[in-house]
Amino acid sequence: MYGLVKQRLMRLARTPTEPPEAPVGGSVQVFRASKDFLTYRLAGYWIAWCFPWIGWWILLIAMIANREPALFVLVPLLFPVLVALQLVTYFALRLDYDLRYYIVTDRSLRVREGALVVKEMTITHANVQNLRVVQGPLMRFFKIWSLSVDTAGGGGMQGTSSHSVQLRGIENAHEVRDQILELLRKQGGGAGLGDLDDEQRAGLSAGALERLSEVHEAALGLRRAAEGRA
Amino acid sequence: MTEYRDVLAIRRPHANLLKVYLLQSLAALFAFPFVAVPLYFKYHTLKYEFTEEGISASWGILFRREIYITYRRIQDIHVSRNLFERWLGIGKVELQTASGSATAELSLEGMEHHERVRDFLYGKMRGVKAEEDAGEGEHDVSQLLTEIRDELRRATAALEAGGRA
Repeated sequence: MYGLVKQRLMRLARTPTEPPEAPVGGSVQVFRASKDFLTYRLAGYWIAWCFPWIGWWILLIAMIANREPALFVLVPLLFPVLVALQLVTYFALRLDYDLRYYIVTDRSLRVREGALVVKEMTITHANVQNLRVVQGPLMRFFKIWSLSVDTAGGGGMQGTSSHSVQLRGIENAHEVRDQILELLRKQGGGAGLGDLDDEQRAGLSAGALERLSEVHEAALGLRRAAEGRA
Repeated sequence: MTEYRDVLAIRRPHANLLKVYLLQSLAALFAFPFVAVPLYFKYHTLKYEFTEEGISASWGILFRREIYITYRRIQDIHVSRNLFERWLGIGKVELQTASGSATAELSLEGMEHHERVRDFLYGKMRGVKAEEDAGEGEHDVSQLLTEIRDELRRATAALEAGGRA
């Protein structure tokens, strides 16, 4: 049922269901949110939907007990509305899970999410400012984490800013964080504020220093030869 | 750069952007004229320019706006496509720098080949080519130093030969 509706909806809305194209450069890891993330979201969904249904049952009991004419109209009307809303939110939640992709390469990170509005975010590791691993009590029960990768820039609440990329509901958040940190370390320093790349900074490698030493020796030899001639 | 000649040639948004603006304005119901008129003029005055160093966008009649962003200052690239944009085959590429704004500093609206634009901009971002370029620079320094060393040795040999003669 869900699969068929999803297929029709995606075709109608021209929503891409396949993973996004990986950014150029190095190894590519494409992964999805954990299946437990879906269970976690569904748990929250059922808990949240308990309240409207409890309200509806209270109204139903009040209708039977008080025989209020207004309730005889309201209660039957509310039932299909609640069912329809619950179905819509269920589909939205499932689609949110199905259309969520994370890509980590040697140089960058790409996240795509959304069904109605498809959003795709790309950042390079060189611009990363903070890495935050978050786990709530319910998430702890499902052994999942959320990793927030922040770049420089302000505005907006924490986690909602467009300067932040969220890898929600993953099991290996610490591994991914360490991997990004390692890649950052390999790429060298920099404030992540559009600094010049390594090749444009001062500093020479061991090979270049060895050549400089040879140049120094050659210059010394030249001086001695000039002195000998004099 | 030649690989992305089509991206560098972009000067105007796709014509379907006007239809998206119209649909967005219709969604505003009674506020339609207040939304539609500014968007209409925005579409007709919106211009983009991709240069070697950065990208600029300008629009507006009464209040003119021009934004310039250098590629190296780009922090994040967001591509978003709402329902109307997907139906009409266009997308929006949003660019963020390290400024204090929570929203995009520059929105490239009405991009027909939004994935090409995204790839082009990604290629220009800091950190994408660091290793390759660093390796290339390293090679150049080493080669130059080797040449200087060899020249010095040749000069020494010539001096010694002259002294013996």
